Amino acid sequence: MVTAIFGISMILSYFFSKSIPALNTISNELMTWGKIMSAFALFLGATTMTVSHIRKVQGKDPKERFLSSWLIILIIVFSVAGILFEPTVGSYALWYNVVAMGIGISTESLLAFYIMVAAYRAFRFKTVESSLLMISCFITMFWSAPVGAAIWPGITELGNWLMNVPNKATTRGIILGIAVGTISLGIRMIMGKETAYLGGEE
Amino acid sequence: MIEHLSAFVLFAFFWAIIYLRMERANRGTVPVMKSLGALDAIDEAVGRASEMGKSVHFTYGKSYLLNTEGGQTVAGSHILHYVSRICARLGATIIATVSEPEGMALTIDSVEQAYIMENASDQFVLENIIFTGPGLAYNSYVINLLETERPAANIICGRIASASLLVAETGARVGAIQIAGTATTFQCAFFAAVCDYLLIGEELYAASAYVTKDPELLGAIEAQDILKLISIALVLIGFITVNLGSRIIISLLSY
Repeated sequence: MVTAIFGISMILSYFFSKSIPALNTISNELMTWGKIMSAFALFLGATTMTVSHIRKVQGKDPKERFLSSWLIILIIVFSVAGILFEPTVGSYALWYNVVAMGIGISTESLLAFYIMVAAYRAFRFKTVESSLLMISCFITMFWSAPVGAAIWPGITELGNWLMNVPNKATTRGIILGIAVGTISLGIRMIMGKETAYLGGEE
Repeated sequence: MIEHLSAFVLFAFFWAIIYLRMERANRGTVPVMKSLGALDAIDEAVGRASEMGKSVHFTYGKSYLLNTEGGQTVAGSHILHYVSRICARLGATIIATVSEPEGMALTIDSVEQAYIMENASDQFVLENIIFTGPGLAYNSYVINLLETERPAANIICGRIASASLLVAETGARVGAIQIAGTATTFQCAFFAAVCDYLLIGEELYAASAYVTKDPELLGAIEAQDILKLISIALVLIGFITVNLGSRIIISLLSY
């Protein structure tokens, strides 16, 4: 019932917000409620995570005890420092931008190596599909790299055709299916037919 | 009076088709759905985990609920609920990682209710539902979890971004059976290269109908196919009319 009322309110506000301004107010209010609930959910998540790490500190594995202790100390120090000092300037911001962001960017850079390993494993001339995948991968790689056009100028046109014709067509077909699927899922949830997220029905 | 009139008419029409097909299925004409290998493989994956005494790892990727990508998280939660029921039945451990706080309550509820429905509520462990934090914290935590825990099955169903290959490749390296499902088109290619089974786009949204075999939900999936045919027909008619010099379809759909 709650799902149906909130879902229909949001849908109606999209179509009738100018003729019925109250619907706009309702939808904005619902979005605000969502953000408030998200903040409480953050508290729930942080609490669960902290309790889990406290249990690991009390455990026997020395590596887990060290890492979990370190994480709990960081949570406490950064929370207190963030509340007492300005978190967007000064040392706090420096720590975040240099240390935390730097570590994160390094983790993302692993993607390059992961892609190489995945490509090495996946690209084989075994079946027609895998062969097509491999050929299109080579074309795209040479098209993307500046040296590709230097080796063979025609790669630019071939790459553009590959990206704009078969790739775009297939993507649009998939997106069409996704759009219809999303609408169908939303309607099923509003009608109360999808209950798995509530625990399902026997 | 009505903004986006053409969208409203189409939406009302879509709703009517879905409702009529669901009613038709309820009355006995249940459509048959083609098999989805990825969902059939969930039983096998969880069974393998149970035999090996290892865990099953489930993740959405980005567990957004408050934006347009929330549908993928909800669809993923249906699969999580099904996976949790099989884990509860076979005695396997499920570990779910959640990156966004708004997905936390949904995940806890999906897993807990699954265990309750299988009369195994004593096996439910709240600490196995792990909030990792968004972005970089999520990437690092999941990679570390897969390397240390070495689950037998790695299930990734939801809206996932750059972490797709980080998670999937690590899962492949530790020897897990990998089942992925996403409506994020850019990531489908990575999953196709690395995972054993893949749900592309709308197959993710059809998962709940497939695993429950509920007649009404199967009727809704049949309605989805009809709506897709109507959309394709509109595209073709628009293509033909534009090439003949008429913009009538474009004007009608832009109203």
